[in-house]
Amino acid sequence: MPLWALTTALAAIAALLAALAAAGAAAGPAFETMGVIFVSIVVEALPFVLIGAVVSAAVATFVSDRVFGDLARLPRALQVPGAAAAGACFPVCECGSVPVARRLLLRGGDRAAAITFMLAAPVLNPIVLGATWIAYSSRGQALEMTASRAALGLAVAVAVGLVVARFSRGGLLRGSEDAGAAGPVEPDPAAEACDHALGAGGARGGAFVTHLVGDFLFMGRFLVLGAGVAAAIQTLLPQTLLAGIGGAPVVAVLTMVGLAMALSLCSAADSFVAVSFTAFPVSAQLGFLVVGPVIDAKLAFLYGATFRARFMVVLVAVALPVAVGGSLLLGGMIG
Amino acid sequence: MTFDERALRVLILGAWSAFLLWLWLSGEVVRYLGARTEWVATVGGIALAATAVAYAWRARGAPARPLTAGGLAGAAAMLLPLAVAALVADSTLGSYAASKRLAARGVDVAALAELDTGEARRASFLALAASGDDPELDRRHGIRPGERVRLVGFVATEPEAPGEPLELGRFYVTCCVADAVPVTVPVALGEIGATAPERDRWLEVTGTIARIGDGYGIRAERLVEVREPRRPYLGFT
Repeated sequence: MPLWALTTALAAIAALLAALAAAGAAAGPAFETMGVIFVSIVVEALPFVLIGAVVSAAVATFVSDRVFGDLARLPRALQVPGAAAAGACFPVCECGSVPVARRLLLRGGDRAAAITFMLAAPVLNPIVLGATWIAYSSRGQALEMTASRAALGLAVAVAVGLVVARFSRGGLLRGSEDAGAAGPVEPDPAAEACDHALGAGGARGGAFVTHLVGDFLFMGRFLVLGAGVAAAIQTLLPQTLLAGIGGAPVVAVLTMVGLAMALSLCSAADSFVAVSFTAFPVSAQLGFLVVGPVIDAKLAFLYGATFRARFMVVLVAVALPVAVGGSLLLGGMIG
Repeated sequence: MTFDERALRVLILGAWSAFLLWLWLSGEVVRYLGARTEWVATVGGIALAATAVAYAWRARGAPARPLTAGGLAGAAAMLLPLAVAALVADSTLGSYAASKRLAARGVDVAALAELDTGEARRASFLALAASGDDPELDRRHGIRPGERVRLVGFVATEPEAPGEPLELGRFYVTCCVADAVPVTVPVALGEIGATAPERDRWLEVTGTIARIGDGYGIRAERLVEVREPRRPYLGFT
């Protein structure tokens, strides 16, 4: 890039900053609140995206095609629970599991298994379940809520994984022609993720670094966009109105599910917020805990950047009924 | 001189690394993260620095990759939070956020206070905010009417009329500011109410625990305007 173009770009950024500052001065506390929440979400989530990118790059670089071929020959009935179990051992929030699932799909991993892993990891990992246990221990419902969250989260992950695999002919990833169990045939939708000119010239370490940086920047930009939307919703949406809705159990569950999608909380923290909603029945709190790590404003951008639109449709169509129905059932049993 | 795609990537990685490390080293991380997740900034800063160095080292001598519109847009998106952080550098959540966020109607503060299962010797901010409904919980949380107490918080709500209490506020954060829950304690100004401070001013309130409305609050004996605490948010555990 010529120096004059760089100078122009920096001048444009400076102008944008000046405009933002002026807007901030005009908007006052609303801008400050939105800005603090926005930066906070990105600061907390970006390192987890990096962890996900590290795992993703390791899968891309160090796992041979033969391993994926062997895995692909396993029956799906083994792959899907195996993926869920792997998710349970992956201690990151939802932001970290998306790049890993994407890489699994790029390497020709089973679609159902990859999606199950992506959706199970943020609910089933030990940090999240431990936080749920601690949050609900004061209410004497630690075992019930933790087990229900794990069971329902697993059910949602497996159900979405299986349905997505059934109805995703032509590939799941954006810009891809095909994917799935047929081998590593899917081209990388983020062209910049594969800096072949750089990676091919060196050893595996070089390829690992280029994959890592490509994945991190690819996911990071969409995390930023999602965080901006989540911060705007948190600042501008009158949450007290939403939280004040009560009524029938189904309405309560749907309200809390909507709140989870709007707030975009980290799955390691959401149980401490959920437990405070004592105006809502346990079933509604369970719905909040199960849907939040799977569908929210922040994730919508990550999913949108990674998957075709059809995936989002299937995700919502399958995850919401399973989560709402399961929450009502299990919540009724907990009491 | 050229500035190509790889240089831009190193710039982004370096900028984020520097920002996270600065948050850690300056202690400013408390403006964004809760106590249990502060390590994220440290680990993220170090890991990104290592990644930037490794990528820059690998990029030496490789043919230049021209910048694309998509690459520039992505870079702008990645750098936007840093620009916003610079603009709100001294900001924390205050009365505006307390009025908009999950306030008293949705959140049961008592349920949050129950997370603290230990026996308290002195009443905490959260315990006072949750007091009034359960005498046993109040006892366990150290709520003893008449006992002297000192709290620091921001003015969340000014007195609606002379003689009315003001609401002293703090936010409780678990992981990051996005999950912050506002908690308020009523402060009866009594004879010192003539000069009720403005919203968002940080106060150190000294007084005695007294019944105010449905719960307990502070009957103020002394109000001192103070600087924002180094750790503006509190944590549940």
